Amino acid sequence: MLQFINNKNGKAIPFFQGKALCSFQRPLSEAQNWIKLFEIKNVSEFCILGAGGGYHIKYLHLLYPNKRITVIDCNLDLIEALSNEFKNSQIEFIHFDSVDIQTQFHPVKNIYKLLLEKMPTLMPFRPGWQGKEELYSNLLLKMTQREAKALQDQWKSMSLELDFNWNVLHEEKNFLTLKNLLNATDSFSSFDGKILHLFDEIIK
Amino acid sequence: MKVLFLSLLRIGDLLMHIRLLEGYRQQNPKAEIHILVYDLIPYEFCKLFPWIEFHYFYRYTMQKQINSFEQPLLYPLLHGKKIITQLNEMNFDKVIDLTYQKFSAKILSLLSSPYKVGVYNWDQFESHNNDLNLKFITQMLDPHNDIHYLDLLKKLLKVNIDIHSASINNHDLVLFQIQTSDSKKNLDLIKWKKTLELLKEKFPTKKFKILLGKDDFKKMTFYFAKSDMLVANFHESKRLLEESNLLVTLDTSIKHLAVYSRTPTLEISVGSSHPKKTSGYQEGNFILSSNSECRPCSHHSACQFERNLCQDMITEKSIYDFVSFWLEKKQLCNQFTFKTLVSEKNLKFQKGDLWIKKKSKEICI
Repeated sequence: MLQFINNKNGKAIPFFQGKALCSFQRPLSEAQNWIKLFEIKNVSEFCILGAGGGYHIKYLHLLYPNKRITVIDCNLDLIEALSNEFKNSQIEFIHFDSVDIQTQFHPVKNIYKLLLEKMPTLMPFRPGWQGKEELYSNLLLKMTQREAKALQDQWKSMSLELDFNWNVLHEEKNFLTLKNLLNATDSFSSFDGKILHLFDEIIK
Repeated sequence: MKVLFLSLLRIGDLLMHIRLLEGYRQQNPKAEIHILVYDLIPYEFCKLFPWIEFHYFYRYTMQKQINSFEQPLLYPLLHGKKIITQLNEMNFDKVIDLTYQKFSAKILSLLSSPYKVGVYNWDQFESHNNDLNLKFITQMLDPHNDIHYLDLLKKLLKVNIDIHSASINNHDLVLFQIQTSDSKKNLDLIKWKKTLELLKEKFPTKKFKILLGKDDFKKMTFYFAKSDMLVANFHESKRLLEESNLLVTLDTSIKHLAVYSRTPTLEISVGSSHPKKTSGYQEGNFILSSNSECRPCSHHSACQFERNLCQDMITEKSIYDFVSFWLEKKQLCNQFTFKTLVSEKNLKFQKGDLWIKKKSKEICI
């Protein structure tokens, strides 16, 4: 159950199952420090994972008022509370909550569409996932596709002319990198294959 | 006619390439000029050249995405595809590669155009003209070849560039650019400090200022007073150069920017900086070049010594002597190693007495 408790400065901090979803004492400093973690110079759109107390969203919006921000969170009550605050702005909320991520992943179709079309910079806000760490990890893995299964599940919808040796990718125990993809493909002739091989030089 | 140039290098190289584009534009006044650059070129830079349409390949952003596990795996691929597709939709009549590297060759091969200039397959060496391109690349990479890079490029592309002269003036401001991104090409800061102190003492009515980016300012306050420093972006730097009597600089992009404002330049050439190949492309520039045997060394490797010993041949006195003579408008003969001049429409180098007296060998030959 979601609860808002005011800190000594009067800032309302959301608590879920007894855990604060952002810094109780200094939510604004936390927001400022959080933004410094990301390279956001040439970014056209943002995708924040975790609504927290909304202070980091507010701060980002203050810095970039004309840029679109999508916020993904698992807590519907929190989303409803924050949506009112950010009415008439370029901030959109997506509710994602699934116990069984395999069968109930369809709400994330919108998220995949967003990733493919707009390529927003992902900005995880981990404190917002207190008590839901496993859900957060699974969501991040699905969104980043840095696991062979996650990548293969969505591959057909990507419409890329690339063939991979999926066995090679499944053997990789760590997070997948572009180097893994380069090693698992012989697609030099297709346009997408040539684009992938551009990154030979960058990775070197 | 829509023409796209690929300039996938650093800012100094881009400034040189734009001189070539100026020549190309003169020969083809109806051409619409576009250029593809990396995202390390700041957006404000584009405003300096409003007649060029800039396009960005976000290589450095992609590099960060590749290295970050919190960003989608396929972002660099999707991003790269988007950029190339957008460029192909613009239907360029010509695509001309000025970069001549493996990466730009791959980009060139992906771009669709009826006429492409450059190498589009580096491994099998396929290009629009193998003989010409091989000759150009060989001459460009040969450290013993003293032909200026732009003279090689303009010969390859059959473009004329009007080489103008530095403009002598009576301004009171002398600018110093004393930091490069490569420690091999730097002088010890204490040398600059001493030089400035001596000059300020001798010329109390003149202004001697260090030109800096905002990232370097804090570090420099350990050595210099805040009043000695000017923090400026490219626009502001160009304006300052226009109001300067002289620019004293290491091998940085500012020396190439000074060409656009015709500011006379004294370049200090140490480390991997080649004193002739990439000097400021105008007549009336001066070069103080260290003639250490190990120079010019490779850009890609660290100095073989703990400190770039080649800089010891260039003392604060040599810089002070040059600037003093310059400000007093005295005849310069032994205060420089090379001076640039134009001969047969190319940039050539007149040797100063400093070279003649001290030399035992040519630079790195």
